[in-house]
Amino acid sequence: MNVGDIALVLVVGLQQSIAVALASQGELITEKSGILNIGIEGVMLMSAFVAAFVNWRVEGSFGAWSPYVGILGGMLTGMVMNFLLAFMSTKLRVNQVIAGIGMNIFSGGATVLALILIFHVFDQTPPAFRVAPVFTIPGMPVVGNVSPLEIFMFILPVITYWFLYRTKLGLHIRATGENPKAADTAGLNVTKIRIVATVLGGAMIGMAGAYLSVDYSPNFVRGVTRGLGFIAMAAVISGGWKPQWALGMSILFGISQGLYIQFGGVAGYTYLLSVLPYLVTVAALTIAGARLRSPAALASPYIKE
Amino acid sequence: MDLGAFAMDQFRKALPSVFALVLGIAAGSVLMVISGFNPLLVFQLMIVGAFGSSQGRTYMLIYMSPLILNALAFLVPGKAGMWNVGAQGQVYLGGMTAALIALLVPLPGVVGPVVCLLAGALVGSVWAFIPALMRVYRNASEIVTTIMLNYVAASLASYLLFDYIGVIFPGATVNNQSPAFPSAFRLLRLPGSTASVMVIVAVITAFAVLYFLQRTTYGYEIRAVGLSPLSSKTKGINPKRMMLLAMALGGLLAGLAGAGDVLAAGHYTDQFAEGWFGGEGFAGIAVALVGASNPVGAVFSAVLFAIMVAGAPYMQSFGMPKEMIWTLQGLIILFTAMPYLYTLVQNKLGGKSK
Repeated sequence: MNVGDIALVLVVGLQQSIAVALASQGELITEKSGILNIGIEGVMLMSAFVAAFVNWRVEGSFGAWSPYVGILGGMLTGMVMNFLLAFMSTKLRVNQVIAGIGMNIFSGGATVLALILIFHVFDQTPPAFRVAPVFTIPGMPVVGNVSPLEIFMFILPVITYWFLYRTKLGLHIRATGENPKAADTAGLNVTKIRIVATVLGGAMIGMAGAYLSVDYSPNFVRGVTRGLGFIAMAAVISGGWKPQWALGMSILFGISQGLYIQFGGVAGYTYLLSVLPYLVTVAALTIAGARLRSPAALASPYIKE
Repeated sequence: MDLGAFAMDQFRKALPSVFALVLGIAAGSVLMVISGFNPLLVFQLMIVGAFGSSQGRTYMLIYMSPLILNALAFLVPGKAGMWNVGAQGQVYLGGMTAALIALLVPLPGVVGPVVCLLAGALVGSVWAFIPALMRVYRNASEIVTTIMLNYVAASLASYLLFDYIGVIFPGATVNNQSPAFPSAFRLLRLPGSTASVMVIVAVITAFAVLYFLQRTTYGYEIRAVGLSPLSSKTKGINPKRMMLLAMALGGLLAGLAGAGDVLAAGHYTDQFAEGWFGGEGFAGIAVALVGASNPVGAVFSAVLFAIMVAGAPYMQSFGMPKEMIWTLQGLIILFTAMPYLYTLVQNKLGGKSK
């Protein structure tokens, strides 16, 4: 491995981090309020489909800007799905793990169903415009294209941090996630705050899904999330529920995927190397796990007496 | 307790499941209407597809065994408070182990399949034990790790069966399928059917698991840990050991499902093929939940899900995408997560709460 290889792995690795990094910030805000969104994988998948569909549909009227309309569609999808989860978790007191698993299985079926019914194909939507790169790293044509979302990936954690630790709503969100009873006693509406936090998180998870189908590739491919949502969850946990560390862990997973992409072509070992990001996830959880503390009321419904 | 009261009691326990099933099917029907299909026709085709032909009935028997075993693989760890979302991976490795032994080790007569089944179950168990250890000693969320290990298992199986075997038998692996096994490794079949005896094994296993959970000390301790790890400690139970045991048992059952499915060769060939195992690992979760996390309940709900899966190809031949089944399963799972909704409705209807 020479300097050029390392640079290439870093460039590709950062690109591979984008979806995970964006989704992890969304999951983080959601979890900070006490709602566990295991359905994140399904939310990303649905958002990816809707984004690709919208992008393809408005191509005629918006031209090169249509991917951005697609991203809005994806964000809206994420918000709607997260709202449903938040509603079920608060008003209907669902078991959040089971509801999340249900959402994932539902989304896997629904996206393929939509592919068949709308596009009459089984595997992918027709290609449309992609988000145009902001600039290209000199000396790296095509591979070195930097998407605006890649830059936003570094800005978002700053916003998340400011929002959670410097605003009143952020404080309220953290309070409902740590001690809903005390928050309630202090006059906060726990249910409302949890729903708001989850819907906000849904926008980011939706953006992450949209990235996959209007930027990373110009169309939706069946099962495109391939575990990225779960990896984002792992980034939140192993990052100790801190926005900056969730970004750091996302980049770690991205780079391990970048390593596979650059070196996975070694004949006979492709299958073995493809597991690298998943193994890194498991290792990160195992190494970081014992020292981390989740929001105290995570995944438990608040029942007002 | 007389039989009538017992039956009433069991019926009452099953009511929330029936409620979830009805709501899931209702929501699924709305989705079908939106998609431009007549739900009544869909369900009619599903049932005709499953029961109307000998092929459909065979498929039902074939699908029932992995559905039952995977439901058990989810519910046994669940009793100890562990989420085994990794049945899919455990199934894969169970199947891989059976396939490797069948390909590489010459074993005489009935010994072959039996060794394959046991070894497959064991490897599935080890695969579930790894995330259990990480959860118990390092607090690594087993929900995430078991899902991650599903991807690792699929790649590992593909590596060993296609890349590695390809080196031993040059040119033998095409289109990501392993070479064919010797037919001696094929499981015994039910009389007059191409379905293997695995369905009987699965039903017997379900009753064995019920006995284990309800009548043995380990079973009692597992349930005690699931109800409250803290108070189980005061009873002298070691919660960590029970969580590990429950996960290992779950993996054992999933591994058995995988080994049995690979050797069944009912609608498959005597090979291991990439993506051979559809979504039954995850469907097992739905089966367990609709079965109210009761092993025998799981057998009944497995019949329902087997109808869906076995009826799907027939549905598909009438232009109705089989993916509809997934959405239906997802919706049913969603509604089983809402026992509180059931209580709400019960109170609204003026029913006496327990």
